[in-house]
Amino acid sequence: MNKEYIIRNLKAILGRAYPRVIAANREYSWIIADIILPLLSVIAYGTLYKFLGASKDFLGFAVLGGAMSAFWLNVLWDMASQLYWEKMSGNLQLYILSPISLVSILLGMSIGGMLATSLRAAATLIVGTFIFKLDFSLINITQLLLVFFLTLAALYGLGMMLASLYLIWGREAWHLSEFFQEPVYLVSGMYFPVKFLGKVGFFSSLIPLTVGLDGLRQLLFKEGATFGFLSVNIEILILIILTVIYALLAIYYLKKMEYLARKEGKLTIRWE
Amino acid sequence: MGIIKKFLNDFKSSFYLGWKIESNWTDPLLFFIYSLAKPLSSAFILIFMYMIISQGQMNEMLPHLIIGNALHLYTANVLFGMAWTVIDDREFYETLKYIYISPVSMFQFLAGRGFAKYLITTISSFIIIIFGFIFLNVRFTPIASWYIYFPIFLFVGSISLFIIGYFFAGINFLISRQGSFLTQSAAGVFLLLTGAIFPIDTFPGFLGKVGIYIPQTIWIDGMRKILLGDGWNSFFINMSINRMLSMLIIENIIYFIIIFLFFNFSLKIARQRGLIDQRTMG
Amino acid sequence: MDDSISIKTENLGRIYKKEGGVLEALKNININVNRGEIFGLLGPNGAGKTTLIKILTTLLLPSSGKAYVLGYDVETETLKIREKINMVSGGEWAGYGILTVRENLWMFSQFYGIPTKKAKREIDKYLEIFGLEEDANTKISKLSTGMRQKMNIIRGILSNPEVLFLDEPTLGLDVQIARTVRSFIKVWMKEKEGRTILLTTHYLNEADELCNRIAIIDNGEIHALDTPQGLKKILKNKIMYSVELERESYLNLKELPYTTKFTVNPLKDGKIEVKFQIQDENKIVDIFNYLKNNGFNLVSFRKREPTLEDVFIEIVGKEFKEDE
Repeated sequence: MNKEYIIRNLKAILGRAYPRVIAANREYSWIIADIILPLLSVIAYGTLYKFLGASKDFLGFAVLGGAMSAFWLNVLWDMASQLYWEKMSGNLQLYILSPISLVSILLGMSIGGMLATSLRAAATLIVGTFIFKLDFSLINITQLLLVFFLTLAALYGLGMMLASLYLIWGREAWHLSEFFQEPVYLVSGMYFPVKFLGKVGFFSSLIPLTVGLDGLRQLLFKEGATFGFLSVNIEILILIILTVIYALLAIYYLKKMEYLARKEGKLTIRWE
Repeated sequence: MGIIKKFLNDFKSSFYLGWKIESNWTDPLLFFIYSLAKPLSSAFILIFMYMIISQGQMNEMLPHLIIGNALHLYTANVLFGMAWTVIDDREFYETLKYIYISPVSMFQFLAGRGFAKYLITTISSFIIIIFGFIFLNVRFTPIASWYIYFPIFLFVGSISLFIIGYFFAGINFLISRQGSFLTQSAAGVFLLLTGAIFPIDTFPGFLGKVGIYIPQTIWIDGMRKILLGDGWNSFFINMSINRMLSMLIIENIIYFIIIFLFFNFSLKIARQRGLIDQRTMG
Repeated sequence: MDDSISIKTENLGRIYKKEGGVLEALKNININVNRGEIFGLLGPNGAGKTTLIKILTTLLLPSSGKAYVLGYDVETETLKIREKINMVSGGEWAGYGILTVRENLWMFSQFYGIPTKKAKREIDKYLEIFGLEEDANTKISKLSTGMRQKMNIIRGILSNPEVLFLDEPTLGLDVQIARTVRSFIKVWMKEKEGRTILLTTHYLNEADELCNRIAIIDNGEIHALDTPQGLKKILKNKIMYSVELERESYLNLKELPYTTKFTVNPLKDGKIEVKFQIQDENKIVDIFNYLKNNGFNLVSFRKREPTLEDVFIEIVGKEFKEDE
């Protein structure tokens, strides 16, 4: 791998991240999708907790879950389904015939998506905090940052893997994303501590949000540790393993997808 | 007679089309699972939240929550189904313009498409309620003559779903694909304001009263009263079921008139501005 | 491989699996495209043109045989090829609607590692050449088909490819824009020595105007390969006529005695144009009489030079239509 090739791929990452970041400023629909929608859920679930007489930390759990759900939506709709849309628009074949690795395209999409979504997640968190007057008690900032960034790394790794898989599976990517969206809210404990799901939590830990969110709750709220699923250190370890596994699988499936595309000639044709 | 026959025919074909679009992308089993995944997940999130806080103790609120959520699914799906049809058929299938110039009225066409969603939702709502019965110890303690009120309330309330659906469909004729998010947001707002998962008075002041003027609030609380013996919104708690029914009918009529005018106005504006076949997806 | 050859195929074949069997999209294709030439692939839809382009641009693997671009094997040396080629297809909707013309072009330039400063300079240069400078900051979702295709062509040449694949580049464009595109292609080829273009097109005149050599392809096979003039020479002994007729009735002209390869094209005002070949020029009077007796009034007639369409009909044995 020569220097020129590496520079070209770095440029490609930047190039592909650009529309993601720009889209955040130009299309207001994303504001509705990524801030107002999660916020409405946050208000609904927070108010239900309030009505049921839950402690303030539970309201915080719901707000944090709502904020992190923006990343899940981003991964589902703008990562997993993305290569499918790229194929439909004809971009995919231009990416394949460019002298770069497709991994750079997906990395660019991820980084752009992460940046844009972080702003929206922050907005949900801030507004939710304001509405429900939340109290945070920061336990360990290093761990907090580590859990947050590892969650994103593993989550977008999963998104990169799904992007190729969706394309290999076929035509109705939209339905797949639609299918996964809500059940993941449930099994990841987006609005309640995943500890209450018992053993299901171990399976849903394959979704990085599950352990990531649990870790963040433990590190941000007083009652977080009481309702924690696993210890934060174990969760960090799981996130590292997930990041590596998903990154490797993403590269593997991307190669497989490209090979299938070239072998069967289907993946660069619209409507196949 | 001819008019009714034509209406039914048009309705039938748009319903059939809606059903096909919703379901024909996969085999029936997968479609069944897919249709249930979303509503059941959101129902279980609420049930879990409830059980965690009440620490497994069942009290009288859980049945109210389950019925509220099951009925809210209708609002969300019919509203989204009808409104999304406008964008989907306009921009993805690019058939809206052909429907517009055909003798089928847009009003009937959307009713048929909404009805396809309505039927699919019925399955998931039914499953949520049955689940509550079997696993969560939900018991019905209906009012006298519930078997008369239940179908009447179901019917009148269902009409209100379609009326609201026309409102958002009308908006979507005028705006770009952001409409899909607007519609989803609207479903979220309905969840908050109609007392589906907590009493409307949980919100302070004005926000806690808005729901009274939304037909779905009366519908959901009325259905609770019919099936469980009481509702949970203080405004309706002492109101007789007959009075609630009259109120629902009156609100339906008022909304129907306003929204019918708005819908036709939207279509007119869309035609004037050339929005019937606009493409905003690219 | 000889350095003067930029594309070479050896018994290249490609099959697609489909229900109930296989479709042979390409059968034993052998071509050599020289450096510095515009090489045309002429054939109807489904002839195999796009399949060939896809194989050569590394988007598709061959099922049999070999193909080389600039001496590199399309199966194994993809990166080396990708660094030196680009492709533009007609009716392409690539790019992101939310970005402007300039931003989209910049983004694609990054995939080729072009330094931003240089990329911006080149983008502005080409935007001006194509008359798009005023739309440089327009979102591409707002562009017309013609403007979009101009942008696509800029995208294709921005990386300064040694081999450019143009797959129906003027498809669906109006006459004026198609002309701009054709003139640009000619200028671009002259601008730097050694550039090669492989062009597929439906438009016979376009192939005639642009290509140094043309391969006529149908049903996955190359039927003829020569310069446009060379191809037309196939018909040098044929006498060709074009007659304009007025129809009194809606009679279909199914046959015409003494002629071969005759085609009928409807014109305006109920007139039709009939083209045909004859062996014996003395028979032309008999033909006119036949037409008159069958209710066709002769408006005009002319003897004409063979066109690529005639060549196509002669070689493939059917009219050049967009049939599958």
